[in-house]
Amino acid sequence: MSNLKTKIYKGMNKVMLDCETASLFVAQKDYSKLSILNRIKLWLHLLTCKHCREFARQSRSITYYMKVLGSINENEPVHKLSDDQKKHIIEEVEKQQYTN
Amino acid sequence: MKILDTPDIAKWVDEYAAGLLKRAMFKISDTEIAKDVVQDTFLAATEKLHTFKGESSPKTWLYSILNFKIIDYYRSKARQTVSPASQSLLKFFTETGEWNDPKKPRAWEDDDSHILDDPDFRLVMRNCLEALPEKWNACISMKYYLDKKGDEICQDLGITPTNLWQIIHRSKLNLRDCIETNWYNDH
Repeated sequence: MSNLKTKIYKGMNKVMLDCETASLFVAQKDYSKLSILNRIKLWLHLLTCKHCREFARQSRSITYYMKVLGSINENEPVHKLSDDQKKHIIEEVEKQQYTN
Repeated sequence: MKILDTPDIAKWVDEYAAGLLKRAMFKISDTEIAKDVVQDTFLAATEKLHTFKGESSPKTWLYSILNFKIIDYYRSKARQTVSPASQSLLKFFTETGEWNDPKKPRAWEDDDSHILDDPDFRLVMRNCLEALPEKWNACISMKYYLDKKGDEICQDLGITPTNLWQIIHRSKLNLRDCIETNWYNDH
């Protein structure tokens, strides 16, 4: 009987993920590179672990925030690249041509 | 065939520098670095002028050089070594792989898309990104700012896919923790 218990326990361990691996799978899933077996394992883990569910939700939020951040320009408008700055670039270009 | 020389480059600077800088600043948050990258673009253009055959417009040609220069910048960032302390997951997980109690993800209030309308929140986000090791920051920026696919990033930065997932995983753990500490715990 205890032999059966050990077998069940070992079997469970093969199926159950720890949180560290589960959170890695969550990050990996964004790339849809997760095997079917690992998807099932992750799904089972997320069913029972509210912290990892929270991590998955926040991970999605962060992905979304990053994408939006990439399209927001916080810097001052740049259409006024000053004449001095343009002159500086031209000078550098001429310097380079001179040395060539 | 028309031979191009300095006056043309000067004309291009006048015509395209502002547009190139605008593009660069969407991809690189640091203004000074973005300006350097634009300057490098014109220097590279001068050097390679003989390869420009006029098959594409100068504008297209300059933008393609700029894209290379932006990737170059992230590539050099990605070459920075990451300290073992940052690599370690022991801050987040116990040895048996369970969440460390203080680092357990807690529910975020008003975690919605409108939060990005708040400049203070955006500042927290950007600071948290800057706090990541340079290599991770480069991977994350290429993924989301340059909108690159995973295998392109691996190729550009010379890392394996497993490596990239680990970096994304660790970056997400750190970002999550940093946002919670500096935004949700402070409010």
